[in-house]
Amino acid sequence: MKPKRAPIGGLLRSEARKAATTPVTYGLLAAILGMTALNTALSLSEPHTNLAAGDAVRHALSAGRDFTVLFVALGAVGAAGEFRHGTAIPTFLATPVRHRVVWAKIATYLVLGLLVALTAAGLQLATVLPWAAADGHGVAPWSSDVLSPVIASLAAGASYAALGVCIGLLVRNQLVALAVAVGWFTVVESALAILVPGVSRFLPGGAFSGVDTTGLDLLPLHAAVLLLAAYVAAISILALRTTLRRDIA
Amino acid sequence: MTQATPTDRDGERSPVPVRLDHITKRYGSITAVDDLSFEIRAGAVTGFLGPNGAGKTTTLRVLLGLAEPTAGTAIIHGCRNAELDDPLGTVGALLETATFHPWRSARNHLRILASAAGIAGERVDDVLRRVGLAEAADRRVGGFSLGMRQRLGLAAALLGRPRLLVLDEPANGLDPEGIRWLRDFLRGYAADGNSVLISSHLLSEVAQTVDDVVIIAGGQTRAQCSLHELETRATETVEVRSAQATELHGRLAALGIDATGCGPGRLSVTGATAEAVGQIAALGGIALSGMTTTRSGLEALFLELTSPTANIEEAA
Repeated sequence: MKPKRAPIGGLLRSEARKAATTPVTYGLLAAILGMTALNTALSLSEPHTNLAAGDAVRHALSAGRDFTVLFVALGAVGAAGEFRHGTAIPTFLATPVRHRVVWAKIATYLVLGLLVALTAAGLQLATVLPWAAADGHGVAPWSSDVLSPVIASLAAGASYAALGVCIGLLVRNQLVALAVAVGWFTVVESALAILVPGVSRFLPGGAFSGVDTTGLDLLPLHAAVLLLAAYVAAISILALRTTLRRDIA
Repeated sequence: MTQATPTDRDGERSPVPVRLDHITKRYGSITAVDDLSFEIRAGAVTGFLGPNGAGKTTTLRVLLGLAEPTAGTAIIHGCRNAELDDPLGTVGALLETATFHPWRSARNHLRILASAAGIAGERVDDVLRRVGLAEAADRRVGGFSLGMRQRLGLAAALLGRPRLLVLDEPANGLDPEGIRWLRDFLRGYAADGNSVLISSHLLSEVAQTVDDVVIIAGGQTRAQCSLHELETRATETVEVRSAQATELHGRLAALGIDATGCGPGRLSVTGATAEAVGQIAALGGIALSGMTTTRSGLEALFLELTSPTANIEEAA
């Protein structure tokens, strides 16, 4: 009987199992949840916070996106770790058609980023909604003041984790990949935001920062999602071309 | 670079498990493999031998599709590695470098590969038992000895029940008992009709295991023959002195006997006894002025073949 290539579902399970058996995944998950909870609580505790105004709720629910670089790190470590530990060799021996591995890895981290962001959003909602209720201001979970920042956080979590995978595949060295991710999102984009303020909202890190804060000249949610999707698509193609061309070490 | 005919896709087994056709691999100005060609036989254990830095690992990486050759084609059972429909069922490989995440258990390492290749999970426990790691299946690989890692690497190579095993220095880190176990295992594996390509920088390490040898040095093929032929060459070299050395060389070559010039009026003959060389010379009316026989071990011959000054022999 003619043998068939393994189905993509097996590759996705393989990538998911890799993430689940890597300690850094849990370290970054704990860091994301911990920092999100802390930042949300700090946002709610700020003096003069008026939860009756939708902005304060949006601001509190957007607090987790200050740590989107951790999602990038999640993907970058997952991809570059394969080269650090040499597991890229058995991976590409089991699946010599390299583009299948690249797509499976990006898809896995899209889902993982989404799940982590979903957990973080759940944690935030479990903090913000009772806090507002205790303050005497009922906030409906389906209101735009809640849904808009939550959707933005989910899209950001998934996209940034996928971007991280691409950085890891391009750079391959785990430490350099982390340095590139942290350097870009925390140093380069911040510097550009000061030097060329109009450009900031079109950059990968700036696309989502504060989309829910009114009064700032930022992109609407749907435009930010499309922009980040375009960034993910572009860097995915670059990572794919590089992985197809370079030798596996 | 030429495209291979993927005969395997029709379910037919290509008679040649491995064929390297004029492979060259350069890294910048360094040529790691230089126009290397050889084939291996089905059902045989082939030793891929050469000193450290000879280009063995690079060649195996090219064969396995991990490195793109600068020129040439590497074929496994009729296909390039990336064209194989069932990669782990066709070739299983153990490369010299460590390829494990230290935090993962042996079982999880294999489960990850099994999922990717569409192999049933039960096979993971089968191969762990086969390499003697069943008891350590749930231990983290970071705590494994070098020998245990080699066994785990072999388990990964066996996961898909491949027809071809490619092993890069598999005896590294194994104790004498482990080496004997590996030898017996490989002999049995080949006896079942499978093929094995095993690299080593020590001929003595694989002499009891292999049927054929491919010897390389400086990225080039120095010899390809059966171990028996190598042993014959190693056993006896006849050095002949004659004013008609060229004529004698022609007669020996016509009979398929290797002879190389080793100075004016001197021939070094391998694969024939001194008595046979004398008879051939007498039948041809060729006068000999001297004849000496030297015996050397396999290791000495190996060193001679892989020395930088050795003549590059055309692969058989």
